[in-house]
Amino acid sequence: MSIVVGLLALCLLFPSAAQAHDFEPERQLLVQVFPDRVDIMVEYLEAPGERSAMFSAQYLFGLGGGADEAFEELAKRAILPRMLDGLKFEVVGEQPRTNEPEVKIRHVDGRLMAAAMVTYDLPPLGEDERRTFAVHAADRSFLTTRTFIYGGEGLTRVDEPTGEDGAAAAEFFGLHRGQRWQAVFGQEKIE
Amino acid sequence: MHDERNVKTRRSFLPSLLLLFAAALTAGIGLFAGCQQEEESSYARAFQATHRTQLVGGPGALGEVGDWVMENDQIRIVIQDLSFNRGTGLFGGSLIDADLVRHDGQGDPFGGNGRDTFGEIFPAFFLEVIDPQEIVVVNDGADGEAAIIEVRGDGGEFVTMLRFFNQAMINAYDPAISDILFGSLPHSDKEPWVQFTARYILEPGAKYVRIETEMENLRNGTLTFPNSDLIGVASQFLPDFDLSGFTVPTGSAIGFGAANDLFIPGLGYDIRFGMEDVFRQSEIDLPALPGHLTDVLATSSTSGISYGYATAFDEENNFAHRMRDHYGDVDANLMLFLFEAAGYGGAFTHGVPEELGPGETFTAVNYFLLGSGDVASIRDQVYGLHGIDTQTVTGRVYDETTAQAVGKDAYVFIYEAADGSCRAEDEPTIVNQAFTRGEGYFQLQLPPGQYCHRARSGAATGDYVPFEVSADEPTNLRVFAPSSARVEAFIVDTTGNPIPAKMTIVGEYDPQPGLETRQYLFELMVGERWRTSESVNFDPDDLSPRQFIENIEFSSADGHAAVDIVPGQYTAYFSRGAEYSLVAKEFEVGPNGVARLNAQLERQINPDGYLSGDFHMHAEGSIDSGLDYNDRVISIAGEGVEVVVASDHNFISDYTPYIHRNQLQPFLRSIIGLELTTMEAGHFNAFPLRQDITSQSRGSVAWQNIPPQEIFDNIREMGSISPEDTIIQVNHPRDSILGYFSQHYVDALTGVADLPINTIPDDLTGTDRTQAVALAAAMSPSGPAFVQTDDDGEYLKDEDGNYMSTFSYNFDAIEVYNGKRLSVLRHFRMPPIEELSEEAIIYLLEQVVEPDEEDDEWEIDLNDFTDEEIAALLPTPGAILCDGDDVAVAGGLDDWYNFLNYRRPDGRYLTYTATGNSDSHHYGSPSDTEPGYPKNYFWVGHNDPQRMTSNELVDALKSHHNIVTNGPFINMRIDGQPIGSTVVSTTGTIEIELEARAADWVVGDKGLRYTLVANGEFLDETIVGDGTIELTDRVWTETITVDLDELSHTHFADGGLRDTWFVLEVEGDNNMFPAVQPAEIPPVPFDEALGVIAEPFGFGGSIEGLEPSEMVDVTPLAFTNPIWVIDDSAGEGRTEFEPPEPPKASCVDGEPSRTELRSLHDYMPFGERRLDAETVHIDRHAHDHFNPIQRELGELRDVRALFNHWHEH
Repeated sequence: MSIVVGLLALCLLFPSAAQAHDFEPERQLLVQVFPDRVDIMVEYLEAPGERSAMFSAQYLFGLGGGADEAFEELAKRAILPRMLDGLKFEVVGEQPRTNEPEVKIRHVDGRLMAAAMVTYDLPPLGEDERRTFAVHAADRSFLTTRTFIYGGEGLTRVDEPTGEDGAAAAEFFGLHRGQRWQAVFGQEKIE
Repeated sequence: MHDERNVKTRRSFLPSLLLLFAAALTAGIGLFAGCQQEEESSYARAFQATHRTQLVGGPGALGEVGDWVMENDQIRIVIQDLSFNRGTGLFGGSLIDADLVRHDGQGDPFGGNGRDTFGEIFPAFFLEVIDPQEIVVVNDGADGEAAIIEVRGDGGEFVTMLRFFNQAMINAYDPAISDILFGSLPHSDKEPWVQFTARYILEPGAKYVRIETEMENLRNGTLTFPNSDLIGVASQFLPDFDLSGFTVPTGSAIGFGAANDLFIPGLGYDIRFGMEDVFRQSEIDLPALPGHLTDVLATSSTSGISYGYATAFDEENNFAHRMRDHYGDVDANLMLFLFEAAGYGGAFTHGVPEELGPGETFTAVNYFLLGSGDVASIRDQVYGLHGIDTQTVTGRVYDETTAQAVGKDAYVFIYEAADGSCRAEDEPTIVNQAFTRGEGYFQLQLPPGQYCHRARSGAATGDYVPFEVSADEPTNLRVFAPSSARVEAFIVDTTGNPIPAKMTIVGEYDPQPGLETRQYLFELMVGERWRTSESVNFDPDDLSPRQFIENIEFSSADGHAAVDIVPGQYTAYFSRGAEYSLVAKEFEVGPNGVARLNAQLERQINPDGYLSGDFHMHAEGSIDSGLDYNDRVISIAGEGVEVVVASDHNFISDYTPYIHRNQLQPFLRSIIGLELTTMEAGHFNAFPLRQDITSQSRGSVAWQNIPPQEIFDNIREMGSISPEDTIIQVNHPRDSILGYFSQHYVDALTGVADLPINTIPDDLTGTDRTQAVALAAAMSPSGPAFVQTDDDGEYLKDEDGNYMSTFSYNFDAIEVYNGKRLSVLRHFRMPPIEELSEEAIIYLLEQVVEPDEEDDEWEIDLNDFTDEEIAALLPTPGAILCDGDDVAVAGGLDDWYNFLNYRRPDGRYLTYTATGNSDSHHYGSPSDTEPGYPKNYFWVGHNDPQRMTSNELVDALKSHHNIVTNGPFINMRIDGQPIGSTVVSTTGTIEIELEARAADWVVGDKGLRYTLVANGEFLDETIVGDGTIELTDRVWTETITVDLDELSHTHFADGGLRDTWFVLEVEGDNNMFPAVQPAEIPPVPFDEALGVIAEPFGFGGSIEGLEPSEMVDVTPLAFTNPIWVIDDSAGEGRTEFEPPEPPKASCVDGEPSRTELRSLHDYMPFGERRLDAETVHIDRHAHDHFNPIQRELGELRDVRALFNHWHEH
């Protein structure tokens, strides 16, 4: 069974040349830094076409039209590496403990869509302390990732100047392959 | 006792395992399939569709159950049945959908998931098309041979105005010449003389359809082409109409669809100006026709499908080859490309023989081809069809800075270098284009020879590099593409919440004397986007740096916008329509660099109780748009429009799912609507409608040969509230061939429609009268859409013997102001003499100066006239110009004023609501109008688009409570009553409250001014002063007391009644660049495209300077709907408004007259025409469609909550 899943995962990870004109998959990363944890959600929209169709057909809807619980679990395991491909998270100076990722999966307009949620527990942040969160995209990462980093429960970005045009409470960037981005959070308010 | 649940699981698990194994096997095969696909056996089929899954899916798919499908192992096409045309053509039987065969590409009940973006192709016999009578499967392919379908029928008119022209050329049916000479309007249902056939042939394994078009002589006698009898008659009236030696051409009309970029060898993607240059430089005269000779038409698109058209070698009948005395020694596989406009192109391929004997046929063979997205995938096939030896060229494209391979969809352009030179100044000829695949690889076929290549993977195109293709071995190329830069921005409002907005990247350039920007700032030939300059009114001698727009991008509800640009120094402007501030950010970015910007926009005006709406909008459902619905709603919301009516051509769209998908519901509300689009009898918007998802056109109705009232009735039946509560809006009524008022000959001075055949002046006699009658009968629109008919289809006449027009006055609104088309806003007035060209002055003098009859070479010499004499002889500046018996160029605003002034011919006083809409078709395109420019402020009593109902919109428009503007908000009350009211004045004195509000950038430092229009006349300075508007904190108010007796210069109704309607007009001089682009690209209206064919025959043409300018800067302009004031100072209890009915003006026959419709403060240099026929390159780009921040305004949710509710999105 693991060979089968592995083969499928391998197949899913590498786009074939036959799909040169297919739409791109899309990936979005939301990070929210709290005083005692970091919540990370990855949302992934598979490209329409063979991969989405095959995935859905074999895993989700091949069994009398409904998703079977066990096979949905297999699907989640197969899709998770693709969702997280090339991404690496870091809380600078700390080694947070990660919990089991939660994965949701669904099929929309011929495309496979999945969301993964993971929480890193951290020691509580003191009032004057800073916490730096970083995200890397490996050189091999095949997807540019729309990334949003927010503070939560009183934390705000403290490493960006706030000009008259109003640096917002949220920050986004396009994370390209080979890039590393970081954001520093503290208790200070944006003026 | 066993566990039921476990058993169930186990039972389903076993087959599942088998399935999984099968999947793994499939996947394993699929893993290697990128290199080598298993070859399926070839086949071809033809059948009539019985289920939607048999059709072609995709954004442009129009196929329906009952249509005819042809498919093989490579492609699938749909030919529509004998229904009314669901595209923009007239008849069924045309090829409307086409796609490659795909794993998941089939139709479904909701439109399918294939990639069809094709419009329509149908054969054209000169300008005659097939009116199909039957569609037959000649071979269904079961025998393993080609599948064949035939469409057989009579001749049909694509445009009824060309009926005579077609008769002269094609002999489709008995032309009844004597009827025309006696002023009888022609029919198309006389006895057919020719049978037309389109034979579609699909071979197994082919990626093209062979289209054989056939003409068969049905008569007992010989037919001549052109018809010698008709030509003889025509030459009596048109001495210059000389067709000796003329070969009647045939070919195809091809609507490739705006989602596809047309590429033609020699022109590249610059069809618009490339063709203009062709015509300018052409020395081709009759009997040949001017145009561009090419062996292929091909499109490209990054969506994985491309389309092409080519003709077969035909030594005997190829049109250009037969006319090689005129075109030079050309091969017999070339076609003459004529025009592209409104998504359609036209090409002539063959010449009809001079004669066809009884039963004889003439056959022309052409090909419709499908490719995988680039031009090369089409050209590769055409080389094969034309028997041209080629060699394989492969290569890989790398980034110039990083030397990394680029991704997919980078452009590689191939040029012919006859002498091996690849210098830009030698202008190598562009011949091909290929897209890279995933890792930068590309492949194409080329005949051996000398070439150059260039590449573009982002915003800039690289230099020419020479290479050679030898006959002996494949060529491999290493190609470098210039690096791009990127701008990423985050846009918020003053609460810090992200908002949909627009980012405009503006750079500077140094003007080059005597050149247009397209000749040095960007290259249309390779599909680069047009860079709009800051103004169209530059002094050509001023060479100081000017601004241009490098690119435009919108943020969605997430506030995020990102776009690729050429590296350099820029200013990013952030805007959100005319209610928000404009924020500028300077930045510099190098190759492969990323500039990251933040911007905060302030809402500077928010008119209480009004919502802003754009009631004319196009997207994916329109052949001339093709814009993805997601991009559509993002760009509308980004321009600050709060309510939009979806109005695709003959397709009922609903934006609501896309608004929700992009989480724009706090910002934008959509109403389901339609632009019912006839070919030559007007365009009508209808809303709010029901969408019928069981219909492929979503419930659009037939319009072909149907009179307007019946069309109105039919679309009112689709109303979502009720037929009575469905708004019918006449769009751009003075558009030439697309305008309801123009095509039905609505008198621009009285508002009354009549047929030209009825309005020939009584004093015209003899030959002149015969000629006028024949021309009116032969060359004006006819058929049941224009002329009333009885049950037998015979034209009806009234008691005076006049044909009865079908024009219906039963509509609700007039789109007075459309896009940036100020040229059709007001009737064209005589410009100041100093602005006229010498040619125009001479033309005007020729109309009034008696020629010297004894001097055959007499002509006007301006040196013979003093300036004073010229001023005295020419029309007064500001006077409406007439051309013959009609206003030279009519405008919708003056038409609307006429309707307000006069009763209709049946005695009713009908009041129409004036609207203004963008008619936007594209996304951030320089050839387009931005959504919301102009727009409407309509009264709903609140400011929340989310809770607005369709009824509120209908109520506002039916009560005329609507303000039209491209920027400022303006308002007016009379005696406390709002716009649209009817006020009864018992004192004869009224109090008018005026108001204007505007964001800072809309007004600039140029200010605003206003004027009040009363019964069509401007109120003079004694009442309104100098009209200056002084804004304080962006607001201006003023109250004027008016005694109705003071309005003595206006027209009043007979009987001393002083009933008056009032409209407030506001204007400014501030150029709203860069938030609103100037209209810089002259359009190619459809009628002018047809004029390309008509002009060589002596029709068409205009005098430069005697028509409105087509290029304008966009400056503030707003006007209200009226308030009607009933004068009841006599205390008679009057409640019904009596229209003023001023004496009717008319044009003086044959001369530009000084007709004064109403006085003008100043000459107003309005100009500009509609831009929806543009063909500049459209950037289709992938916006990130799923936004993580699902929220209401002012609310941000946390990531965990988003995940928990993820299934509920």
